[in-house]
Amino acid sequence: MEILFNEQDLIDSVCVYVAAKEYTNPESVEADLMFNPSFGFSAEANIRGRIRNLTEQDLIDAVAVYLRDYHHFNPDHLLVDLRFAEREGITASIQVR
Amino acid sequence: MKKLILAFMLLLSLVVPSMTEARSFSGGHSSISHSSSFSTHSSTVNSGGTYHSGYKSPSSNVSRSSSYHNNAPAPAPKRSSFWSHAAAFGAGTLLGSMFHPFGYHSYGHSYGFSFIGLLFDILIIAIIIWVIKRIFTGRRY
Repeated sequence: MEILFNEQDLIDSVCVYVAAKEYTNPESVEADLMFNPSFGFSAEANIRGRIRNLTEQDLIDAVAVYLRDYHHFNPDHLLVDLRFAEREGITASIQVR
Repeated sequence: MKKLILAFMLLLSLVVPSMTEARSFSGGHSSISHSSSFSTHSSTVNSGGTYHSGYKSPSSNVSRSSSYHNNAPAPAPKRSSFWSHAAAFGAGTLLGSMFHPFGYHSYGHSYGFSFIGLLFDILIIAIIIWVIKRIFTGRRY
């Protein structure tokens, strides 16, 4: 099975992931997704003025955490492919093994 | 000169990363769509203008147990309010007996002002102040 995440789903994933790390609620986190052909995917999270940078692996972990916490998936069975296209922006395809 | 500016603009567009506006949590109502077919990508490739990170598994930091319900701080253990009530009652009785200015009445007899009682009250107040001072100065690291 393949799950497709749009950009808002990825934003939600980052918010949930960072909120869990920072012991706060996801609503108080703002996320900014970035893609650079040279450096790959990254994100910047703003937690009430405090900035936290996320690497590509953090984004993958964020997707796994989001699917685990909100949709009860087993993270061990997930493979995440981050994608960038001009029209769709940053999206993700998650393969469930 | 024009070529130089054009080359600079082209270089700038390549170097500056593609960014989305900072957005916040939508409430977890994801628009997950399922598809039965997928293609595997083992590394970052550029196929038809789409970049892929390649299918990667979450790191070992992601545990199988949910962290969603652990975000809220644990409620403070509920303690019996008996001792707080008893302490308030005792403090009230003590202060009431100490600051009564005109003696007290007992079984129809009236007892007037007592100098020994006043000294005892001053002694108790001094002890209380000493204990409070010690509590607050003892917290310094």
